Amino acid sequence: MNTARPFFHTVPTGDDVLALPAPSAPAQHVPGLETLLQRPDVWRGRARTPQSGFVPTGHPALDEHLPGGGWPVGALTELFPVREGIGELALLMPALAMLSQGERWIAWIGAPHCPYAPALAAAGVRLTRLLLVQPRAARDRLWATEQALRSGACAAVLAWPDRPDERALRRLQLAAEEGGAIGFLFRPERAARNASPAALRLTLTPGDSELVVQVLKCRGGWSRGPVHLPRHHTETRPKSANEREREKSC
Amino acid sequence: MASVASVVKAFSFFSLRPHEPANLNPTMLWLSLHFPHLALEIYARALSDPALPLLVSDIQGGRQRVHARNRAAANAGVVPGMALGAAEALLTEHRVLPRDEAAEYAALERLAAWAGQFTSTVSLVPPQGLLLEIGGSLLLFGGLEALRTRLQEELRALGYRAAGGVAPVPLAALLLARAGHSTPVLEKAALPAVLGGFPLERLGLDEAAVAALRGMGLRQLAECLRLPRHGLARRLGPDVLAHLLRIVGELPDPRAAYVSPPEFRSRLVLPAEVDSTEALLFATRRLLLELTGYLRARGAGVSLMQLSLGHRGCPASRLELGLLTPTRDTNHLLMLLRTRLEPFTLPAPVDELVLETSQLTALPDENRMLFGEERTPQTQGDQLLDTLRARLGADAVHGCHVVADHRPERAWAHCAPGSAVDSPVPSVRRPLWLLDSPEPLEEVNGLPCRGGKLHLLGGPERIETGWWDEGVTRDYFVAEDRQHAKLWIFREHRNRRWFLHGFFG
Repeated sequence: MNTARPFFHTVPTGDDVLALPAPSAPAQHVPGLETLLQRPDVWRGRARTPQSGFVPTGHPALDEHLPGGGWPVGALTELFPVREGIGELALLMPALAMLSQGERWIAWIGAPHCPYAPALAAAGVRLTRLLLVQPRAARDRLWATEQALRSGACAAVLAWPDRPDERALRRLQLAAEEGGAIGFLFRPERAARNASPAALRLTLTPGDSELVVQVLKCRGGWSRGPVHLPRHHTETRPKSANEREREKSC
Repeated sequence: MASVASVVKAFSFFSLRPHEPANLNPTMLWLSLHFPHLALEIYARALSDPALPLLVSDIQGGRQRVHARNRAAANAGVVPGMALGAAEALLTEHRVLPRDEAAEYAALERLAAWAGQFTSTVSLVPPQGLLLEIGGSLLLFGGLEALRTRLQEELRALGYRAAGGVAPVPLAALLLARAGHSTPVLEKAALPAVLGGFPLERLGLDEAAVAALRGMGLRQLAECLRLPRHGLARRLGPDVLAHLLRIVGELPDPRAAYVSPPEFRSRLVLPAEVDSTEALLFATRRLLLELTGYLRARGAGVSLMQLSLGHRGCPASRLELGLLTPTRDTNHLLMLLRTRLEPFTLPAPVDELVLETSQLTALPDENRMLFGEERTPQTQGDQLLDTLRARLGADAVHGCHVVADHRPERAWAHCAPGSAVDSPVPSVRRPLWLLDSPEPLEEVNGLPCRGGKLHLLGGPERIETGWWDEGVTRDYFVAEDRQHAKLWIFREHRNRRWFLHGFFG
C-alpha cells in the first residue's frame, strides 16, 4: 500500500488560522476590531459556510484530506473521473450505504448505465431508498437534479447533467443548500478546467490497482497532494461468510 | 288560510312578551357576504391583465345595454345602463360578454363550498349573497376582525370583492351587507335602532309590498314596526309582516344550509383568449384556491384531478394529475400543474378552463396540527415524486430491487420507488454498472480486446440457467483494460463470442 500521507497531520485548518484567541487580555488591547470587521470592504475567509455538516466518505485517508472530514452536506461535489469503470461509484458507496439507512431518497438522475441492484445491495445500500430518474430530454436532467436537490427529500443526489454552464451550477448549488442534500455531479474530465461554485471538486484517475483522488478545489481548505485509495478498499466486494457471521453477532 | 292564522298567532305570541328571544340561540352570529360585482367578476377574475376593458351586456326592453363594466371601461366613460353601441363607441380594444345568470349562480355555489372552511353553516341567498353562521367559529379564527381580514384577503385572491355585514339574525346581516354597513351589530336589541332608519327599498321587500307601504305613507322600517301588527298583517299579507319581523329578529328565520357536492368541478371562461403559460397559471391558481377551500371545508385532500383547456374550434386539451399523497396545498398543486403546462404545446389559444376532481381522501385538519402543514420526509418524498412524474412521465421514475435469478440481467428489476424489500445479498462479486444489453467485444486470437488486450483478473464464473425460457450459458470474468478500468465480461458458451456486460464503477 503506497498511500501518500501528508507530512503534517497537525496542519491547522482554515478555521484555526483565522480564529481569534480567547479574550484573556482586556478588550482595549484590540480596539476597534469589531468595527473594523463590520466594514463591508473587509473580506473574511470562511465567512460563509452554508453547508450544514459533513458525511464521512468511509475512506479515512480521503477524510483526512477534506476540510470537514467528509462529503459536504448542502453543497455540490463535482467528480471528474477520467473514464468509467475505475471505481468512481465505489468511492461513494460507504457514504451512500450510511445515508440509505435514513428516511430520505438517494436519487440517481440520468445515469449512463443501470446502477446494478445486486452490487448496490452488496455494498450495503438499502435499495428501498433508491430513486432512479431517467429523463428522456437532456434539459430535463438539469431540471430534475435541481428539483431533487431542492426538495429536502433527498439525502444525496447523483447526477450526470448535460453540459451545465456556470449559471446552472450556481442554481444547483443553491438548491443543494436549500434542500440540505449532497449533490454529486459526475462530469467529463475536460469540464474540470471551467470555474464552478461547487464546494468540492475531485478528479479521479486510476493507478495500478488504486484510485487516485486529487482535490482541485475545496471550500474552506486548500488542495494538497493526491490521495491514493487502494482499489480493493473502494470496491464493493461480497462479504465473506466469516464477516457476515461477525456482523450478525455484533 | 292556515298560514295567515299561524303567523298571526305567532306574532301575538311574541307581542305578548316582546323582550323574549325569538327561539334564537344567543351565541348565533351571522356574517353576510354580498357580491355586488358578481356578473362582471365571473369573467374578470380569469384575466391577469386589468387594462383590458370588459363589458357585460344584457337585454332590457329589446335593447342591448351595459349591465356591468370593469374599471378600465369605467375610466373610458362607460356607465351601467348605457346602450351597448354607445359604450363600444367609447372603447377601442375591448371585450363584450353576455350576462350569464346561470354562471353567476354556479359561482355563488362554489363560493359557498369554499366558505365552508370557515363555518359549518353556509346558506345561499341568490343572486348575490351568502350567509355564514360564525358564532361558533369566531374563537377558532381569532375574533371577528381577524376573520373578516382573512375573508377579505382570500376573496381578493379568488378574484371577488364582497361587502360584509354582521348581525345576530340572518336577514339583518344580509341587509347590512347590501347597504354597505360594515359595523357589526352584535346585540339583537340594537337591531331596531340600526335598521330602523333603512328606507323601504332597502329592506329586501318586493316592489308591490314597497308600493303598498308607501301608499300607507310609510318610509322607513321603524315606522312600519310602530304600527299595530294585526292590521299590518291583514292589509299586506302575512309574508310581508313576517319579513319585517325577521329583520329585527322577532320571528325565527331558519335557513337551509348549503351542502357542497361530493366532487368538485369549476369552470372559468376566459374573456380574452390566452396562450401564455403565465396567464393560464394565473387563472388556474384562482380555480385551485376554490378547490383547496372546498377541500378544507370537507376535511379532504385530492389525489386525482383534471384540468381541461377549452379551445375554440378544436377539442379541449386534458391534463390529468395523479398524486401519491392526497393534498390540499395550493402551491404544491400549482407547481405540479406548472410542470405539466410548461412543456405542453397548446393546439390553439385557450378560452375556457375546467378543473375537476374525483377521488377525495380524508385528510386531517391543519388546525389540529400545532405548526401548520406538516412537512415530514415522507410527504416531501412523495411531493418530489409527484413533481418528477408530472413533468417526466411515470415511466421515467423508478426504484429497483433484487430478483432471485442467476441471469445477471434478470437479477434486478424496476419497481415503484420505496417499494423494494430487503432481499438476500448475492455472495458473488458484481459490478456497480450493468449495460442495458451486452456489448460485443473485439477479439484477437480468440482473446477479448477493448482498446488493447484485456487482462483477466478473475473467473471464470459459470452461469448456466434459464433453459425454460431464454437459456444462458456464459463464463464471466473480471478483466482490466490497459487504462486500469475494470470490466465485467463474459464468453457465450454457444458461439465462443466475448461480450462486455458491466463496469466496476
